Amino acid sequence: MRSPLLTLVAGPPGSGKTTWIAQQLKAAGKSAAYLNLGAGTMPLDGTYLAAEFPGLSLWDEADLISLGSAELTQPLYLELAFQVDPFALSLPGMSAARRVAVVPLGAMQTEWHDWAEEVVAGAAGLPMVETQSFDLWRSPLTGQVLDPASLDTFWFELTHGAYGAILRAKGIFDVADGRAFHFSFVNHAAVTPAISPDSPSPPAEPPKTDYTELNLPRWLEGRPTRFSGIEVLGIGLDQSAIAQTLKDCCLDDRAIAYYQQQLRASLD
Amino acid sequence: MLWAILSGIEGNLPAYDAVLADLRRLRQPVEALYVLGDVIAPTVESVALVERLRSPQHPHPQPQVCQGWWEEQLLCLYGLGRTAEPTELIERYGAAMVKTLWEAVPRSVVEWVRSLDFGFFELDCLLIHGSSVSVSDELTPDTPPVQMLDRLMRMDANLLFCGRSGLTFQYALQQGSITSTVVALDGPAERHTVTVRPRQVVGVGNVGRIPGQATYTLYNPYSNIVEFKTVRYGSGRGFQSRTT
Amino acid sequence: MKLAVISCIHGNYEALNAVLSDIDQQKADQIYCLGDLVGYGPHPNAVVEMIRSLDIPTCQGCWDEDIVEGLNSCECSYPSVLAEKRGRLAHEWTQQTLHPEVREYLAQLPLSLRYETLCFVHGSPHSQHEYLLPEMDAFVALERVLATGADVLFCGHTHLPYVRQLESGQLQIRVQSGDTDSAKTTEFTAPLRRIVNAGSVGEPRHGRPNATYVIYDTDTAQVTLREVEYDYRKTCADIVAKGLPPIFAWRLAHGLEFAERADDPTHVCER
Repeated sequence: MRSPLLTLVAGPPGSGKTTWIAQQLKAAGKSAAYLNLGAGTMPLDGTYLAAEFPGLSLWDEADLISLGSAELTQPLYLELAFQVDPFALSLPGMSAARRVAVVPLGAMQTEWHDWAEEVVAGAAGLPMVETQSFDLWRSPLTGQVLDPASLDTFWFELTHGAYGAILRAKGIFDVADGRAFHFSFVNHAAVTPAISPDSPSPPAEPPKTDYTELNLPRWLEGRPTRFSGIEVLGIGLDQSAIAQTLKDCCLDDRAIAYYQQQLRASLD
Repeated sequence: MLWAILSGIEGNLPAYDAVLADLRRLRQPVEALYVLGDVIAPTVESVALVERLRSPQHPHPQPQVCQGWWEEQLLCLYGLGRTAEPTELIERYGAAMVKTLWEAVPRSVVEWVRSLDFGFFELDCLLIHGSSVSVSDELTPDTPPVQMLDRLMRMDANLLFCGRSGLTFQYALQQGSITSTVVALDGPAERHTVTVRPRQVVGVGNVGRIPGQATYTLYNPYSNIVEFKTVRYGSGRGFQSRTT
Repeated sequence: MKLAVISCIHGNYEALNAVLSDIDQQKADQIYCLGDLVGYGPHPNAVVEMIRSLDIPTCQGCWDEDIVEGLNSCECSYPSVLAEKRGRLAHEWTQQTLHPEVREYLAQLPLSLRYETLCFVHGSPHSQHEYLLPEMDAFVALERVLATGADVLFCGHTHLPYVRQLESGQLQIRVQSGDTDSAKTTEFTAPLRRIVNAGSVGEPRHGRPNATYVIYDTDTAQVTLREVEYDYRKTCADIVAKGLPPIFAWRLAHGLEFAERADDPTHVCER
């Protein structure tokens, strides 16, 4: 039985691809590498995983060239963001790769089923969606420090439809007390679930956000240089309003300096 | 270990000295010295007293001073108070007093007054000139109980030491209860009975207003015992002697 | 006699109209208004004109005072930096929109009103900015009513209507003057008192966009909390059309505060 070091993970948004990869990383307990193909310049999932697994190497898309010339020395998990067509993917060494699809429980046959060798039932995510009808909006927030109460208000408004119908939203935010948080929201009931009539249909989970404090040291001096950012997938997104509200949640230099001074004093 | 709590020195340096001498005679050491406002009065002697407070020359702890009614009037004169005009000063003492105060207390003192705290919160005790409502809020033995309780609850203090009235008194709220029922738009009516835990307001007396006699308060925060002290001091030097 | 008490209209003309119709249907004899006629909403001038034309006795709200004085709301009312920014935008918009005679009207409003044993204030008897929350300490709430000398204290400011009855209040005190050795113990019993919060006509915070107000029957002492539906979508459209932050429209539709919120029942506002 071959045990390839390269694993490709695909599936609809919010189905739990990153979560499944995290489970593999935890079970293996060894060093590994990760890349989210389709994340563009925003390593949101990568940053989240790297904070939880300090030994994890984060690859850039440019690093993929080496797949053809050198053997992998450690497992590489390649997460295919939902907008990447797995059939159109062409990578060196791909034929030997393990192909995993993470799909919602009881979902009907999808193209991911056809492509994968293994199908893992993930969260009740968003099944077959026409990618053309969605807006995908991203913004890096590196260097910004947010007022936590403002962030809560913004996230509540975002996930309850104030800026458009949101299907999936995730972000990493640096807040006033020096900590960084990962927010992950999935609106499971957003579209009519393409549930197989033969499978037991799981009850529709209410839309909810998972919050994780990242296992990173508190940022105590100046603006953070570590990555933070937000990605929103939805219909009819009011992108300028989202951007403006986020801007209004950010603290200015004076406020950041004040909070950091208080923090340093209390930690002494 | 005791707290010595004074108020209303009103520029009376001999009275202040007499209290300090009294403190030196105590067997128990004094760990804190609080001065609850009205340090100054519209007299030139106030300046010397302020100097003494700012640089004490005795083994006692550094006096912790907070603002009082006279200090607030002074700040109003210089446009630094809570109101634009010293209206209370004029109402109480007449317009001529504005000039008297202005001439008696120089600008150098104003900066120091401005830097003073409004009050102190130590352990579960609030130490303040009037109350957390204002420096003018005069709490006395005749103040209604609900009002006293409100002043304590505003800072959630078990003890409130104040000096506005100039009187020494202990006003203990020993116990109490009340039933509250709330009906809102949604949900059933909510009914609660709450009880009051023991709290008290202490008038700490007045050091300098009555010539020849100063009153102040000693408090032991560990035994929770309050003691009022009266000190009689010298005659002459412009003060008439009083026989009691 | 039936009194209707309305509060916190905040420039929401549609809501005010609907409430006035409801008051007519309820056959109230007299209306009292607890202020905050302007701020956040799209029709501040029309609201004030309506109140004036009907000669409704009104006391000055915290927003009315802020607009007259050119100030912003007390910092302690804003739960976040985002809310503070939104509140400031609402202030600026209202300042630019208000007619001079409307500003003059707001400036001359009294801080409180009185009718027999009833007292009417915006926030509390001590300050237009103090929130009388239903969960504030019962004795402190009692102090607020006793301070007015009235039997029933009507207030607004929190945007959540309620009736609070304070009864069987008793306190045992022991007073000793420093110059005597004797101490006196007294029992004080408090008379029954009530606080009635009239909610908000124009900026509801109870999770629904409907307006709220109260009816008080002076004969039976009965209080009725009224909730009135109206075409809130029209107000939402006007908010956007007139250049107020569009998020206010969404928050109105969901019955959420636009910016300020009364959070802490132990906080005593210093302003």
